[in-house]
Amino acid sequence: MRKSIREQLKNQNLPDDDLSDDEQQLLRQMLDRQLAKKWTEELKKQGIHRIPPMKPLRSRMLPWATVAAFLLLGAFGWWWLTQPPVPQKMAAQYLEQPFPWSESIRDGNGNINQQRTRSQQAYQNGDYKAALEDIAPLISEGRKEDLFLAGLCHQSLSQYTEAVSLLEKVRTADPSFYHDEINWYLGLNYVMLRDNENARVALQRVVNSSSSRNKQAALELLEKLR
Amino acid sequence: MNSTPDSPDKNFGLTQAEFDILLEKLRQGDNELFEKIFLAQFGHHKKFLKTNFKVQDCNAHDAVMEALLRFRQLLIDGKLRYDNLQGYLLMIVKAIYLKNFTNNRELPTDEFVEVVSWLEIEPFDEESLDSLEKAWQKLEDLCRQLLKGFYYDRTDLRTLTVQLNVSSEANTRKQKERCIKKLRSHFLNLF
Repeated sequence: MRKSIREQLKNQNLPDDDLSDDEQQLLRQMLDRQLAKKWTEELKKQGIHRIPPMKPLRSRMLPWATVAAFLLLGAFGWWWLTQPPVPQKMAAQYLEQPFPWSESIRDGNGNINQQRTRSQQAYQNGDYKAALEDIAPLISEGRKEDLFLAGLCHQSLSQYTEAVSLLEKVRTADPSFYHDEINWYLGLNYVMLRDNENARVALQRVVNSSSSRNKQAALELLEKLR
Repeated sequence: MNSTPDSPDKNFGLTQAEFDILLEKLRQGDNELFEKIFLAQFGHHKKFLKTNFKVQDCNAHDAVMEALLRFRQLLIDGKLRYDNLQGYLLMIVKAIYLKNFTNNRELPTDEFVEVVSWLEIEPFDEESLDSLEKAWQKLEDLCRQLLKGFYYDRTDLRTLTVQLNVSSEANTRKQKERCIKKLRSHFLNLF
């Protein structure tokens, strides 16, 4: 690009009757520019446009990449915040395994109750809602097997408060009845309710029991609760 | 059909007589015929650059625009013969593209020295061009026609005398002097 012509013009002895070569060049370039503008308008009428230069791909993608990064970060943050803490994750995994119910379907008098039979079969089939509907009316009889089954149904339906209530009733009524299993499930339900104090008490009973099959798992959970 | 070097096929369909008329009109400051013929070629040449050199649209557009301006000037200056106008224009388009938008300074031919010498001319800065344009707008119409005719369209003084309805060629010459003085004055006052 040439430097400004002003100084050049000021310091030169220019002929009066003619433009200098530089002046002629400047005039020609200025008139070229005017003609180009006119032609540009003509070309637009013919549908020929000058499309402005495209930004490099990186520049064009930068705003989208930034938005994507924020969205990704937000999604990760949401996922991270909504993830249950480790003890809850462990307890939930243990609760996924249903208790292998094998209680007698007969009542205390040796009679077969059709409703109880249906409930037990539904439980064994994994239909905990149906099992609960059949066993619920029988709870008022205070039979510990019914209470235990109802408690198991509630915990399988993630109704931990109801499960704890029923399992505690069984434990109070007969501390020897399925005591290892009831303590274990109480511990797990308390963990899910984030009631760490009661969870620790129940799990400690499991650890202290010589007959429990879940000692190691209870110990590991206790470790996580500390 | 084989085309001879001076056939209309290689000259945008122009015959020698039509080519002569085109030159005459350009030298009278009449761009209409030129625009009719060559602006119609604009899209074709732009596409040529975009296809063969993978040029961005704006760069192809600018190169073809500059080529047409140069082509017009070469015609006015009598530097182009009725021979192979299409070839000349294509060569100018390529030369301008190579000079302005690539590092390749090697020009396509040594034979066409006018193109080469023109490409060597450095453009003036935008400020100078803007100032001259402002000064130009301050000139009266007669001066603009006279100076543009003489310096841009290469119209001789005798023709300008007739065109501008001046009493004599000597008066046209004196008028040109006055116009130059005014233009310089307007231009320098803008700084």
